[in-house]
Amino acid sequence: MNGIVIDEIRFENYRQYGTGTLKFPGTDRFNLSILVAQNGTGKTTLLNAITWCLYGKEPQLTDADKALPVLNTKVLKETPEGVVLDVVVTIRVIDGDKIIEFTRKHSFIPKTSADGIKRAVPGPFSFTVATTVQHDFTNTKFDTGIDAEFLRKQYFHDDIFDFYFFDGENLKLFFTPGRENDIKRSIYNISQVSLLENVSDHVRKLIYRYTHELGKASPDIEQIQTEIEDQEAAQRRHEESRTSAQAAIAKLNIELNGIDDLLAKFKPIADLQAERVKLEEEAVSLRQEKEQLASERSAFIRRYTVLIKLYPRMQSILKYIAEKEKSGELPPAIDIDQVRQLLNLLDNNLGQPCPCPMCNHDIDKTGRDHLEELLAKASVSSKTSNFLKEIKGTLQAAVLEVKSYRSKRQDFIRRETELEEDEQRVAKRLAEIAKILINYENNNDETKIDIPQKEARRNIIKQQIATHYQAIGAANNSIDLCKQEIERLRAKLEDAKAKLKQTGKTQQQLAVVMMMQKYYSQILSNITGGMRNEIEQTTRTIFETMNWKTQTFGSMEIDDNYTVSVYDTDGLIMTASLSATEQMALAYAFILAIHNASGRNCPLVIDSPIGRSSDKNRESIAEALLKISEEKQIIMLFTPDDFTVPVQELYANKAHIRTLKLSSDERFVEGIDGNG
Amino acid sequence: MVMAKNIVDYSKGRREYLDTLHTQGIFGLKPSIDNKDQALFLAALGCDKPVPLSSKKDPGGWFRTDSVTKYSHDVAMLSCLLLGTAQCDEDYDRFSQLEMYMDYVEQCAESGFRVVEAKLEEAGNDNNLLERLMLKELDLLYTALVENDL
Repeated sequence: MNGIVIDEIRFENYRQYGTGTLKFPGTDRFNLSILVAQNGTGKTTLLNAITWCLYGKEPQLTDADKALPVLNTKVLKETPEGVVLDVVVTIRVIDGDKIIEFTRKHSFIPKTSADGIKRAVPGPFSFTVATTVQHDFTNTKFDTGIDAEFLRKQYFHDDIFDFYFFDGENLKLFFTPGRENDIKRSIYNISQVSLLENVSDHVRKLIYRYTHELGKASPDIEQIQTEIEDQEAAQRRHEESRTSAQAAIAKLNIELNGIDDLLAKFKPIADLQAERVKLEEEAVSLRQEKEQLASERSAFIRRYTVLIKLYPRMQSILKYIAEKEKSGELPPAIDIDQVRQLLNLLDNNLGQPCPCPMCNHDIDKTGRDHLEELLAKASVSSKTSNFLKEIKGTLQAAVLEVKSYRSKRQDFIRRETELEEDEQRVAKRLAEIAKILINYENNNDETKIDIPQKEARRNIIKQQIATHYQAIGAANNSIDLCKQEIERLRAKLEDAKAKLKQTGKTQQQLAVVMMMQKYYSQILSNITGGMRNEIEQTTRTIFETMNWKTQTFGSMEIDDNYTVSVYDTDGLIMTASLSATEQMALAYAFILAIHNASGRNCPLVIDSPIGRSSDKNRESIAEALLKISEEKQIIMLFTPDDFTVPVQELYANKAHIRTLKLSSDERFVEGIDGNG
Repeated sequence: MVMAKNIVDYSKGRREYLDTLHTQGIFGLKPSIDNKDQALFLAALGCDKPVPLSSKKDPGGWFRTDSVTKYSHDVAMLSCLLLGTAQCDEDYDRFSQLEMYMDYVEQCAESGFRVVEAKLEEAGNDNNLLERLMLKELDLLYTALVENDL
């Protein structure tokens, strides 16, 4: 087994994990650990514990401001005021012969507020990394501050941690529009080109400076350069607003998932909620199908505008060819171009003898008359004849194709009608469910879930997400326009510079930095391009192993904007038509390809790794993850419902399986070493 | 050596207009669609009334149509615009010259821009309505040009 392995995680007073240790032993062949726990028992908290320890943040929390403190609530309750309590999480990692322990410690003091509630007042915190070489425990190196952060970045880079620790359920959203920037940034990070980018940025600033200096001698240049900078600033502003909308969507999605989970586990409405989740997935899929259909309709219009409008002309050409072929004139018996040349020669020789190219005898008047007779009878030239033969096949095929217009048109109408009916059915049922839930009276005193309140909040979140998506769409349009304008202005600037006949130091300096910028761009593009190709190939290989379909997927492409596209065997794009589980498989394949390309064989910690969907891909994904655990450590967090019998059978004797549950007072997780 | 004319020029101002069409996705047009196919579509739209470029010597931009010298399919589709109007053998000899039929494609495409402008205005800049109107027009054209010929 190669790679970096999480050996154990130690907790001290951390949330419901309290104080104890979770170990992650593998088997000889597989390094796979499975934790099975009901929702609310601490599955997601484990992901939070890891990110809290490494980065000091808990991204899986629905709303950090409204969450309980990291200090275990029972410990807080039972500890007298004024006593300092430490919350500590340590992740012990083994990398070859090195043992690295990442430790975050945060101190709290219990204090009762005026409202009579005891709260944890936060105190100092620290992040330490201890490195020990195995068999030499006498020489442990402790790093803190920047050094500790540097070590952490070497193992679990901050910018790509959500490729290591994530919720499998969210993978369906992995390729939603607007995420390309995150993916691009991650690829830049693992290509380690960020430094190069910074240098390139500095060079760009030098170009601005020198251009402004030159501009003083030429007001045009100064003006254009200022316009470019304004456009670039506007582009950055739009990019920032897009990023903040994306971040807001991610946060809202977490809250939405939290509400959905809550509704799903409340038994009286669980079926209704499950139906709604399925319907919403169907609505997304129908919307994507509609977009795909619209794109096909546009292509159909373009193609048949050409075919129908040109049909009479194509027929006319084909008729001409057929007539000429029938009369034996195609190909022609003589080359009329050669006859024309010969007659021209006779005209230009002004009575001098002119030899026949066939028999070498001089051509007399009879010969000349014969040539003119041939020319009068002759059809098209050999060149035209060849040309007509070359285009004949395409024209015949196009004429055949045009005749399928009516049937293809009918097919569009049928598909559009079906889609509309499906959309109406889904929208109607979703409205019915929403109505039931918004008016739901919860008479169950134990659960105390305010269903109408949750439902109302859910509706608000949905609206907010839709608004953010609109903002992203608007930002994308504005960014495109800025880019076009910048390109146009740059061309204008080059023209203006070319006209400026000034020499001197500034111009030389400008020439040098512009050349540097050009080379930096090329190097950047080569490195990231190479990395992208590698990721593209690996993604495809892994995606194929995760899918049970063998006759559907043709090829895969990652373009310059890091948009992943999947094509069917006929070359038609089908990314939007992938099922939720196929999208999940695609995201897995992409994540594993990034791991592979990064050269860091880091572990994966996945909550709900196979999701709730149930189709053949589910088993394929489970099998593929098992295979991957031969090379890379995987820690999976399942609910008992997700850990179905087929999955249990697949992982039996291959994975280390541990069941977690809450203590009777619901303050501690039982099943870890130390708390149980 | 004769330079093969493998681009289709368009007039000044068309570059910006084409960008707008791309941004708005009019008729599904976008930069990633092959330039040759964009030129052919515009030429088909304008083939009833070709017009010369308003600034032939100083064009506003061009469609790359390199494939016209490589693939017989593209040669056939682009050349048939002019070749389909030939009345005699001599016309066929002249109209099968690359320079000649590409010039004609250029003039048809130039007219095609005007057709798109007019249709888009008629549809109130709504691409969905524009495409529905275009489909109705295609239905009529199909009856008139194809079915009546069968």
